[in-house]
Amino acid sequence: MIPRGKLLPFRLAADTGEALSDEALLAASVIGDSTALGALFDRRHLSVYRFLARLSGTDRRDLDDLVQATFVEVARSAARFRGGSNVLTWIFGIAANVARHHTRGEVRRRSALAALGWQPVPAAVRPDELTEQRDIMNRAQRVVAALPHDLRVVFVLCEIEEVSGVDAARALGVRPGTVWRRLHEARVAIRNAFLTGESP
Amino acid sequence: MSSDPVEAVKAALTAAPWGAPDERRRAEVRTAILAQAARMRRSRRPGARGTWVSVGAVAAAAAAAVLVVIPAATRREIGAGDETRGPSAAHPTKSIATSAEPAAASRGRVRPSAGAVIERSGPVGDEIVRLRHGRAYFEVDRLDPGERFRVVAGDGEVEVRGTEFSVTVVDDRLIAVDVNHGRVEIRGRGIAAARPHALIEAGQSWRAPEGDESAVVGAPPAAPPAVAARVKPQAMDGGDGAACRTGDRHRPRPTSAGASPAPGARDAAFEEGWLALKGGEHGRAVMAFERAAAMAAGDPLAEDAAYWRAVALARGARRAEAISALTVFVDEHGSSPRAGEAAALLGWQLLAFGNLDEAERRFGAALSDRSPTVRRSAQDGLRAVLQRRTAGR
Repeated sequence: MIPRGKLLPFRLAADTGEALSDEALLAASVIGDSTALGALFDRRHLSVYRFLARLSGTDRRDLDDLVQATFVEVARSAARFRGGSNVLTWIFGIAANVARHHTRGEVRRRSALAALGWQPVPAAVRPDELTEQRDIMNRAQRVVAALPHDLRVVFVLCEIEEVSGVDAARALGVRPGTVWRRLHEARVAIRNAFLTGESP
Repeated sequence: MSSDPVEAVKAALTAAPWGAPDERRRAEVRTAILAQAARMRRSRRPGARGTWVSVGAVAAAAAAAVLVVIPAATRREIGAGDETRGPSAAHPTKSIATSAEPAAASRGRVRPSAGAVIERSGPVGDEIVRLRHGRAYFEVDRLDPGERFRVVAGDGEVEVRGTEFSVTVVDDRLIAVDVNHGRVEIRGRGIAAARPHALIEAGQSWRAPEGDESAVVGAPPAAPPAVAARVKPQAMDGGDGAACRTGDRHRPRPTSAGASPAPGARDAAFEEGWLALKGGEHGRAVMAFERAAAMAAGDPLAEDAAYWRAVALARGARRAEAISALTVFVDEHGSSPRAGEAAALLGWQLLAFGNLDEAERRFGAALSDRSPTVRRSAQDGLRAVLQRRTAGR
């Protein structure tokens, strides 16, 4: 008679998502375990989604595409993960590269529109939304979005996601000193933007 | 508001209502990622055949959790012995009983028991069988990456790939799943959405927690000889043809769910596993120990079989599965004389995966084992963890 209430006699992937670390899931995905890749996505997709939102400030549809492209790249590059940083930071590094390509496409698209003498009309803002808080938030997003990509990535990684400088450097494939310099430049640019009221 | 603009920007971005993708879109993204990953693997390793590839392809189809929306379809009772294929893409929703001639494109055949209430819906490639009550036996062909075949009850769903299995539902509640071939994934839905996912393999069974079953279901339909004979060997191979899973093809079928096999069969399976392990045939050993454990459920032999199955997985370098199996063993058989040995073995597997903290914890648990060999192994493991940490700094 089979006892009720639990799997018998083994639980395989049933436990995989909960019991294994990100590193283990990534390693399993290298050898073709899509369940592990799925578990990693389940665990981390929201963090990646928010990271990309903060980084790119793009709309929801684009964010979904960016998240998808990021995890496809994670699957493609999993074998190259060497454990230098934690897995989430490493994924952030991949997401930053994915966002960079996306941004280049956006820039090209906007340039083409500008060449045609046409720009998208910004959505109207209701008067009751013009609160100070919302204004600050919008301004903050504009200021960060106007930073050069490399500075923006470092700022979001280190200041918002609270990744250490060393980990960020590993994830981005640069020296820690480069991260610190970019972070400093990002801070200066943001302060200047607030002081002058112009984009950095 | 902070006077420092940097702090203000940080606070604003952290507090910004970025939201989250809706569940349906998230599931679409997840499915697309897994399908794309499966395609990448296939293109990277043309002709590669192995268990992991098969497992990956299984999961590519099986792992995507989506909100299943069942159109309001007609319901009718299906007579025992009725066997149909699924709906065609042109008729996405209909009761299976209305289709005497199965649609050629469907991936699955269904043999419901007497009194089963079933609806089928969804296009080919994403077929859904809604089982409201009763028991049904399913035989599903090999699916391509991204394709899905699901059996859905009110509180759970079973996702499948290239397999034979039966599902029992009582009053719209998922009660039991028994797998003859391949793998299926079981997920909670609706009121049981929080139920942990489960992936079960050939020879294994899943039972709902106590109290879910509110009625006695009639005798399950055993795999009919005609159905079993129709199964093509390649259907067991998974997405890329897993040559090393050929053991499935020769595996004795469970006679029926819940029936106790003869002790002789259990012992024979255990013996087969033991000989295979000693002979270095790790895949065969895993299969045999699984069979032995399934047949010996509730018997001390099951514990031994579980342990040796995990060892066979580890020796076969199937680390992710080994870690999972060893974790379950250590957690469920903490008082077993083999618990320390299993913990040390688990520590080494985790160390290989780079999970130093967990490896350290498992080695630590093995330090008090009564066997000096196990204790030495645990001490070596702790030293190795320390070295890895030092090297990582």
